[in-house]
Amino acid sequence: MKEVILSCENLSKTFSNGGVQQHVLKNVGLELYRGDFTVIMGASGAGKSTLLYALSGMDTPTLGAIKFGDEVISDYSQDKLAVFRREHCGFVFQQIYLIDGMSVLDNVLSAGLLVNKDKKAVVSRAKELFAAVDISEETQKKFPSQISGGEAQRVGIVRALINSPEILFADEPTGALNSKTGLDVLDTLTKFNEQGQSVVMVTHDMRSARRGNRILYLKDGVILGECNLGKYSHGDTERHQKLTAFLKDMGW
Amino acid sequence: MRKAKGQTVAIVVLILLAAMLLNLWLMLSMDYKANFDRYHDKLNAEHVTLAVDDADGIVYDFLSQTLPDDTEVKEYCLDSCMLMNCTFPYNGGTMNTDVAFMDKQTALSRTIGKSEIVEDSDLTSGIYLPMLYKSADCSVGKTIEISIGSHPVTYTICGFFNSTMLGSHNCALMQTILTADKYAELENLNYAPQATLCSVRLNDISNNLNYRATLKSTVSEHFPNIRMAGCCYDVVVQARYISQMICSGIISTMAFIVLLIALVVIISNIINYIQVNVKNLGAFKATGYTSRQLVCSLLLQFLGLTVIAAIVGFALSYAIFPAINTMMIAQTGIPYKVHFLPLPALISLLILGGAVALSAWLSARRIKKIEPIVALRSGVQTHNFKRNRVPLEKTKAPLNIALALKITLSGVKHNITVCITMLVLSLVVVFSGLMTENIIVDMTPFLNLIVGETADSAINVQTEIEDDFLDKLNSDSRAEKAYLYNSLNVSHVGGVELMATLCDDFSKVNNQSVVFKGRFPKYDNEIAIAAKYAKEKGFAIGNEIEIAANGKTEKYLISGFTQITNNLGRDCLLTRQGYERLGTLQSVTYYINLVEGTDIDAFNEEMKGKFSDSVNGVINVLATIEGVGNVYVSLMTIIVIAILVLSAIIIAFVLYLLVRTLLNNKKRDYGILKSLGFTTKQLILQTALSFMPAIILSTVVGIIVSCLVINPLMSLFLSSLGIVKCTFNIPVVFAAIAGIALILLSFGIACLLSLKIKRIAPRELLTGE
Repeated sequence: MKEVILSCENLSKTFSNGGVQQHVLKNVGLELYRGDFTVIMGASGAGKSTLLYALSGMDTPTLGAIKFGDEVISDYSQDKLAVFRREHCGFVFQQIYLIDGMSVLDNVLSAGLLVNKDKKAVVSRAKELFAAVDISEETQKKFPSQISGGEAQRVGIVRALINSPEILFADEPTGALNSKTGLDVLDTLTKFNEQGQSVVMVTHDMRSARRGNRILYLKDGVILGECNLGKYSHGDTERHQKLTAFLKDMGW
Repeated sequence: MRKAKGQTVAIVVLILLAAMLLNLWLMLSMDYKANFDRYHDKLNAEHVTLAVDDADGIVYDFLSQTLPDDTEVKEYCLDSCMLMNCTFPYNGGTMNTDVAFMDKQTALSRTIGKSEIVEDSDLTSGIYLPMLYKSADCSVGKTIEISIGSHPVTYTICGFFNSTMLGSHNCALMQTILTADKYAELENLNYAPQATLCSVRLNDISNNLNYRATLKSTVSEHFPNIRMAGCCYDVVVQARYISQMICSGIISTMAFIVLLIALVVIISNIINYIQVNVKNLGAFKATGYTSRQLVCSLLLQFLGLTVIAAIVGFALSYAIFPAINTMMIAQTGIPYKVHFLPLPALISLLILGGAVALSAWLSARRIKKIEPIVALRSGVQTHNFKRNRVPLEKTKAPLNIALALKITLSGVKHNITVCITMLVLSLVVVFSGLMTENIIVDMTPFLNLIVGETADSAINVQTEIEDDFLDKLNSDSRAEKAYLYNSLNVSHVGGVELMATLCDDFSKVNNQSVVFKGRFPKYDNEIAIAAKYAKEKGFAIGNEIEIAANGKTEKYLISGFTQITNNLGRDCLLTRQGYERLGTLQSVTYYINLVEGTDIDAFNEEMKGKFSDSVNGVINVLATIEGVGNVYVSLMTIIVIAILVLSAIIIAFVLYLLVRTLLNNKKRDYGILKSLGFTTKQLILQTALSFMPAIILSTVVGIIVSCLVINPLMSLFLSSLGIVKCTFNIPVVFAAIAGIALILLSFGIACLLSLKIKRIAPRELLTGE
């Protein structure tokens, strides 16, 4: 039986735009399991990113409850959510969002030192992760504007993992990258998942979605269906066929 | 500008404050003093006035024969009056001066120097006082006790009058008007001897100071040892407008400080605007707009704001001016009607507009360097040579402080703005401390400059009983110290009349700083002379000058330079023996320091009682000083409070602009940090702390440097009064406390202004809202 690390019940999110109510999520209920690479798919405007932000504590739901272990994080204040995020979550953004005024290393250390005051330990962990994603020491000294998109996203992944989060949330991590660098990033995420890191990724890209072992399909704010692809292996054509069939059933 | 409403408002407020202060300053300096001349002309007032004892009318006859032939005299007027040294209550203390009592009809009908009743009543028997004295305690219908010589007399106040030359207590001679019955009564009482009041208008007003000396000399040559008192235009203007001069100087300084800060903020704002909007500017340029058009557009925006802010500032200055006017009338005694003055407004607008245009143009010129294609790429260059300041791997500072320092070191413009602001405000704060410590808390240093010498009691006695008087003082345990301190007039041969102060032993005087260079005269052939006069004449210490009095001339060596504001810097110090080479003293004044807690008035009465008619006059010097000083204390208290409040407002607005700019520029970064788990409190702390290094450094340096330069600056400020070297007590404790308060206030304001970070939600950042 897989361990549930995060769950939500009756999760709803409504936006008000010039007096018009927009119901983006409608009574969503799901559980996220430790060690899974969960992929949330859907058409544009389905509510994928909204669901991701709500689950990760970046945004507060309009209705419903989000539980992390025994804690109901949907009732937390903004500052408490910030503490929750820093201790339990990691984020990889589509736009990468590294801070321009800091070096690559400092971007990672600023996240690490926020949780762990032991600088030596944080630096050691950072160096280890940089090595794992093939970011050289020279690149670590550069500024985000001086490195390539692929390198920057890999730095983003290091920053997300510096505090060994329970879950790594990734919002279209390859969206702003070309095909080859996108592949590198997916390989990196897959590698960490294989080492036990729980990943939740939002994507509308088939190639990215194939990396997940669990696919959730979201349509009009509701989880329409779920598909289990099993453990990822490169060149697994059956996996691709299974996914394609599932998405076709979902109306993709 | 519309998008950054808050910042626009802050800039407008700063320009508005600068406009208000500039206009106030120009109104005070261009019209307020000119008001004296308007009244002077309106009342056909004299340039020189002299009251001379004249029981037999011989002085009247002499002047009637002499003045018509005097080529310097344009017109003159001689009237009867009674002259006596009087003491009366003033502003919580007492005042002592020579008073010319005039009959009401005579005073109001003089051809030269007539008086003008400004407040009258139905009362037909009593006294009219100069309007300077009008207060809650001194008003129509109330009574006032005046000591005429040593005789207290009570009068009912019938009203108040205005006299430009004789309407103040600090001009050597003051006039009061008695109703006919009270005038006759005083004549019968014989408390004040009959005198002749001579008022002269000259062909050349600039010669008034010299003519006063000439006229006095002429009279004393024909009537040796005759008692007289008088003043002249220059001395009266200076004496009556000290508060205007001080106020005007302070307001002008604050105006330029606020303007400087406003300009620094505008420059910072424009440079930031260009950086943030480089893409838009690039797009404009790509579509064909020239740099000149873009620069002009920015210039017009700021000039438009300046005009609007200036108009509001001028209106505010007119709203505040009546209050300032009320404060200053208490010292000048000349009524002033606040009215619209176009010239100060125009000059203020030109100064503001010119300064804003220049600073806006200088900072907007960098638009010229924007290349459209580079700008459209948001200024991405091939090479980036940024340094990674405060590297987190190496720094020992805690994370929040390290991140705050990163912000500090990346914002050079902000640091410069903060430094300039805090440096000038430190000077302002130290000045406030100086005023507080040297005027409000303990007036002695200020009075030492303005008045010269202070003591508890001053007693003038006939020289015949001097020895007995000194024996009595020496045996009186209440008298701590007594020394001769006698003032009379002498002339510098080839120069002007000087007020000479005689002393038997200058080591006994309380104010040892009156001679700031060289030393006090010790021998009978030595003289210390006013530094301002010495500079005019090119004298140096050791030079020999000729002094004349009583028809005799003697030479003296200059032993030192003095600085006292009395007599427009035309004074000197002589030893008693030094004066006695020129003449004999008929009466002597002794300054006496009494034991703490002694009743000064009781002591004076006792002395008067013991030596009766041989005592010409007694003065409670302390009470007199309190009366004069209270005017300055009230004025300075209001000025200090206004300065401190203005400083707090300036800090608030400058920080508002800087924090808002920072938050706008760093909104993305704050969103990222929040998404990583930084709390709002941590980010507020980082933001506020990022300003602190510049604030702390510039405040500390500013306070230290200000403490070192404040006395020289004050000397410059008071140089027109004859002051060359200020030795005010430096308010070290006040400055230290004020510096800490400035730093804490800045930190508090920065934290408050950073609360906007609360509204930055990471979600908005990620969805691009």
